[in-house]
Amino acid sequence: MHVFDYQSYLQGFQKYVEDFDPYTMFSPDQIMGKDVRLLHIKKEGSLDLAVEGGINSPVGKIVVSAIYEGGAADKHGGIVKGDEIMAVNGKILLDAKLDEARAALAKAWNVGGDWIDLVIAVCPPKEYDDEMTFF
Amino acid sequence: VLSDSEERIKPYTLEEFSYDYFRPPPKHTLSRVMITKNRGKDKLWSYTREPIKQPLLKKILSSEEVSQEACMAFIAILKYMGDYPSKRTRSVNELTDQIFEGALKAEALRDEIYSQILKQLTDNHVKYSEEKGWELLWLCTGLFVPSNVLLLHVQRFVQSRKHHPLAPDCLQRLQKALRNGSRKYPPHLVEVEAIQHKTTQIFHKVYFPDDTDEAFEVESSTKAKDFCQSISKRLLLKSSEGFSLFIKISDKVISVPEGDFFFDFVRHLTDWIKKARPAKDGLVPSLTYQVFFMKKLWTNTVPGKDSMADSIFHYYQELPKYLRGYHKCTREEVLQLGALIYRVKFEDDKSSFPNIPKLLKDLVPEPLIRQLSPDDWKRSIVAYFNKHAGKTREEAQLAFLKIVFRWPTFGSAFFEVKQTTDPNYPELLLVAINKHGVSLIDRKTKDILITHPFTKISNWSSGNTYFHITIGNLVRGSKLLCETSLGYKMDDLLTSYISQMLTAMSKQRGAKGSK
Repeated sequence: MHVFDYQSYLQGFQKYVEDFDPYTMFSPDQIMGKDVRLLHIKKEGSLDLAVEGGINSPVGKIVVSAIYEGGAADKHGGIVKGDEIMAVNGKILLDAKLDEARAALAKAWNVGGDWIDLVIAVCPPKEYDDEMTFF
Repeated sequence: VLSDSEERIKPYTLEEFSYDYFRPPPKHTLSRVMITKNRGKDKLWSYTREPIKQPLLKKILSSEEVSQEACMAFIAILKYMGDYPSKRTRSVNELTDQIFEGALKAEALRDEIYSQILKQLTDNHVKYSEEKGWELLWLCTGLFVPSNVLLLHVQRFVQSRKHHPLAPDCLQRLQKALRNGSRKYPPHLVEVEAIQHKTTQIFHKVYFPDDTDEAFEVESSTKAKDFCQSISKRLLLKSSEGFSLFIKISDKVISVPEGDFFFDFVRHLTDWIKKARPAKDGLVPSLTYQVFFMKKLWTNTVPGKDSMADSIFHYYQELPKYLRGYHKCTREEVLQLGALIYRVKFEDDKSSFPNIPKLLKDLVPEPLIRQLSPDDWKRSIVAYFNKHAGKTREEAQLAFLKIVFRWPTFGSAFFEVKQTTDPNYPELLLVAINKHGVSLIDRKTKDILITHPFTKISNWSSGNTYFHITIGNLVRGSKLLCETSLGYKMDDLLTSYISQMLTAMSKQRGAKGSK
């Protein structure tokens, strides 16, 4: 079990829930080499987070494909394109197909509670130029 | 009594057409005529300020959904023409979207929209409204044509109003729409703005790799392929093969498919970007874009064959790839090329020699700069420069291209990616897509680790965060997954090269078959 540090969260000092222990949710090989964090996002407006991938896709996992400007995910911060979504509100998405993950995200956002919990594996900083192309 | 000539010039209306194809007038009409004599208002084929509660055309009455869409479009027409109260619109094309969007999706609505516009142009004595109606007809004739049944009536309608400045253009646009087919998206902002400013000619700036730009006329019916051909002609290129238009918008550079209408593609793109960046506090995000014309597929590019293509495109497109250090090359080649680049910049002027150490990043591939001291680079480059005495700028460009052309990485698009599927290769890779296929290159040594020819690539896909190819068949194949934001470009290039290859193969087969 983990306890959220609501006080410091409300003060807006942290993007991640500090005392989250990923080993309570995942086996060691599920998180090997990953930087796993818990995000606790307040439900305000729309989440505006798009995902791609899924267990049947080449990437084999659920990946953030876009964070739209001005949405709740964008305002919260701490999550970017390329991050893996491992769980939403306690439901583990490691074996989820894309539409299952989308449904789980929509349900978590629309049904019950004022917050949504996302467990993400942070995408490491890019060590290559990912912007330019010369044709 | 009207004389014959007066009869002939009486503007044509949809009256005759309406007897067969418009919905029948409501049952009470006859009795009301007896009482009010106010017949003008009940002519279904002529101007009204009253919203319609049913579509004009009989054939769409049966579909509730289409009928409703027709009535909504009519209200938008009334609003556009100033015949119905409306708030200030947020964007120039908000009302035109409402008018044309339905008809572009459902063919059944196309005749209805033509009928509605012609109706509002019949016996319309409000000058402002009539002018706005002509704008709509002009826009409409650039999007789609009416059915064969209505076409003749539309043509006669316009022909009998030849005095109107837009009439000849509308007739011409109908012809072009008949030839080129229907558009997919409602008029682009540029089209609406043009006609509102009373101009039927639209010029678009096109940028070239040599840092120049020129304005070209674009019409509603212009397809990317036609656009490319008119640019090639103006620039005196021998062929437009392999060249493409590119739209640069927000952080993306996207190539325009040959068969797409230019305005459709730009419209589609801006709509898509708008979706990704929703308007904040009612402010529409800036959606400015630039149009580029560049070489995209280098399959048949041989330096020296087309001098204009070499000097405007090939040299300026290959130069930055070389300077990024994407190719494997010898010291000798680097010095030669450095001297040639200097000559392209300054021709025979030696007064910039002392600046060479400061100009190194423009003369030498970035990863190699540290291999020599700035002064050693200068000395060697100057020595090579003197060997090319008398060479003009164009000759230097060609000499540069002829050296680069020898490399297997000539004419490539390069992508820096992270691959996670094959432990035999480094994680960080350089991927080159060119006429030979997809090559994986070691980032440090620039050695080509493997080249997968297009004939061996059986499947590919991309997302916002990845690019994926399957090589060979399912049983004995291998997969390559690349982490990248540029998957959309890799996908497009692969698709384009492979379809070019397939077209060439089927042409060959056709030629053999006919012998």
